Amino acid sequence: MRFLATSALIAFSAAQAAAEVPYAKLREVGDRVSCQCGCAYTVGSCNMINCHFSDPVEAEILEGLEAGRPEAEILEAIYAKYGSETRVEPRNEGFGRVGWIAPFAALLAGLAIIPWVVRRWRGGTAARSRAAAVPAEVVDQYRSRIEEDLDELE
Amino acid sequence: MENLGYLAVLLAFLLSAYAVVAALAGKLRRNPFLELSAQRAVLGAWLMTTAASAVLLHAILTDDFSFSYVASRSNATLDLLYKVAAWWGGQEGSLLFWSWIAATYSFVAVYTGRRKHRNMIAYVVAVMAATQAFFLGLVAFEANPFQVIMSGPQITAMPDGQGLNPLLQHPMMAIHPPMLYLGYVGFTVPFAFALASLITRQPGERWIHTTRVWTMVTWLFQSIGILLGARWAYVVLGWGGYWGWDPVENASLLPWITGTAFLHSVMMQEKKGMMKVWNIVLISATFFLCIFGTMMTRGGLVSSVHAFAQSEIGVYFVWYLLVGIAITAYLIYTRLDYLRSEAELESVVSRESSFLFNNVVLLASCFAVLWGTLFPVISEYFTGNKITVGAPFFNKVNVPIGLFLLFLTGVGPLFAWRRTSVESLRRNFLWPGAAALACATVLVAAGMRHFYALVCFSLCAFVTLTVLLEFYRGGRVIQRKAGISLAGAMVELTRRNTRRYGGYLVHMAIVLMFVGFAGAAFNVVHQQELAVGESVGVGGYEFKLQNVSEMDSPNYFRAVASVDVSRDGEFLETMLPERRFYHASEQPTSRVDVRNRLREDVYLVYAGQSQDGSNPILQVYINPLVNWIWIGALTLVFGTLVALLPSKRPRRAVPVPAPLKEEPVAVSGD
Repeated sequence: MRFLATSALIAFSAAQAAAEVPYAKLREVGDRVSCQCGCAYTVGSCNMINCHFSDPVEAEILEGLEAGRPEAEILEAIYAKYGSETRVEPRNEGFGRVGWIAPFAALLAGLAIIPWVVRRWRGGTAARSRAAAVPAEVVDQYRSRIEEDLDELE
Repeated sequence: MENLGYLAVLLAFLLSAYAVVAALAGKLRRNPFLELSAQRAVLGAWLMTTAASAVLLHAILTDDFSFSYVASRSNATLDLLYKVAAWWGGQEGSLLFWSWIAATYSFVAVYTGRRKHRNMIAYVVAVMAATQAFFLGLVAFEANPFQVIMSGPQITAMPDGQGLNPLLQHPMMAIHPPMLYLGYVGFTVPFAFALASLITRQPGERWIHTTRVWTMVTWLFQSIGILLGARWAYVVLGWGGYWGWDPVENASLLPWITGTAFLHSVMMQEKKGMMKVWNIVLISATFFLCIFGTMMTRGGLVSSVHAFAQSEIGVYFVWYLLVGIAITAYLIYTRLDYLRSEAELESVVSRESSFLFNNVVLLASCFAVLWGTLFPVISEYFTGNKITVGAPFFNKVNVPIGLFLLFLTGVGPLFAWRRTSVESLRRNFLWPGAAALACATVLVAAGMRHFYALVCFSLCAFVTLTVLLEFYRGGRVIQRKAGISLAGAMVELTRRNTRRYGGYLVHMAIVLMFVGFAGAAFNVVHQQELAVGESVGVGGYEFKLQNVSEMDSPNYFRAVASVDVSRDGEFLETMLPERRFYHASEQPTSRVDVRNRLREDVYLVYAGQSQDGSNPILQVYINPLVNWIWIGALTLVFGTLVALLPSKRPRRAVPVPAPLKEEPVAVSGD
């Protein structure tokens, strides 16, 4: 059993052990590739022992970084080799652009609706004010009371 | 025993279905006996669900490995706590657990509200029992936890079980799922009352008053569940973070966001009679997002580290959601006249408008999370090509929205109800604005250049001051009148309006959490193979490997690295990260060791072994300010509990002019 356990603890490839590139850089680039082992994390964050996906991909990233290749080039090569599902975010083109735009479009649409809602509410208030015809002195009394309370709070 | 358990599930299902029919028929035929029998059926369903749960728990605790579920989720050497956790550790058991909580909520809601809400309780029963029946139906016909292992015609038992997933064998994980479930299921209660109120066209805001405590308690459970999950991810998963934007994590966040929006907008209805349609929509969305979240873990819609075994039950959830949403939409549409707003907006610059903004931004945030979570499915549907979305996408989209929300958290209380004068705005914004500016200036001068972190810290200063000023101004008034200390006056102020000031404490909790989130911008990570006696320096700390010890126990084998941590030559402590190998499941996991400090966490992971197996590989993370998240979490719990307390009536009421019935703004409920 101990043999089994010790074997299972042998986790990292030679590439990781021999890393000369700062680990933070390796991790940063690894976090741009989605792991496909089922962990739902990135290659940089995957902590599966002997992961069939993150270990070799991490070795490829390391090799690229050690050879001085630009990060974008390393990543594009990985995306091309392992498929678009290894991307961690949509590309800014085609349907991927819709992915980027939609959340902000929703926010802007929501914010744009607010003036319309406010106008409706204000219209309702005006109509109600006319219908209710609250005497002006009562309104003034109310307002002065609020002002007094606010002053008291200061 | 297995027959007894299954029989109880079947009876509970039938009783729940009967409760739906009897409640509706009783109401339509004006037959009070049918209505009463529906209520009794709710009690019966709870008793049967409890009995079924007891049978399963008994099987788990007595290691009855003739039950297929027990054999696959537990084992003899598992600690008692984790044996109990095995109840919700798998698909079938967790659905039974869901049903049991639903039955308990139904029972309590119906029996506490049946006299107060005679007119609509039948519909409450129908809605809650329908949800319960749906889940019990799944347990009875699709995910039966009482299946036994058969060998030919004989029931056989395995000598030992496969054990609970090692990642779930953590105290945090024993509490996190029940909390989350209490949140998910709890939103059924306000939804049921909202729908019943809609059906019966109840006058006034009665359903809101009735469900206020339910909603807040449920929201609290959901918050605790999410935060415990984050803490568990941090200390167990070993990747140095607490939130990975995993689809199932996102699914728990969605109803929390809409629930938060509801808790804010409901104040508009209570105080102003506004946003009635919106509140019904929000609580309905929250409920359906809870069902959606439950489906995400089970339906195989998206892949997730948290998901249970992929199964075919997702299609039932889809149907349930479609039918539920259609009925709710129909009811809202046909009752729009009843939901007409008693509009009273005087000015765009008012508390009412700030609530609108708050709701819109919260909803946009909810949409952004939902959009990102479903984008792989959506993109595959439209383009035939699955476009994956990970943490970088969610961070890029949600960080600006989150900061906008943080800004609104501070701005909201600065506006008065109805109208805010320019003078009042200037007065209220002066100090918080100055604090934000001062904070930004100091941080830039200190060399901070991370844009989002800079904005976040400045907004935190802004919101903190708005909250503190609210307490200070109110406290000063009481201090002057009662002649007590300022601190005592602030406590008194809070006691007089627990809801408002409890809410401010929750806002303060959000600030503390944002401080922690911003700290992630400055995380440091390093990985190194270390031989015994060797050391490595990371982030100003020195880590020296003293030894590696190996231990075996019936449940798991473990290797523990003993690492001395020092800073500036001063020894701080010995950290003990470990690597475990669970015998039953044959799965390895890491147990990180964390040195928690307000300034930063030192987070050590026994990541693996060198290729020749002689030396451990250690990962070191220096995570600044992460503890502020957990402090914020505790503050959130405290603030919500304060808000749940009944307010104390002041001894002397403030006189109000005769024709006006409203209380003064500063002391009225918020």
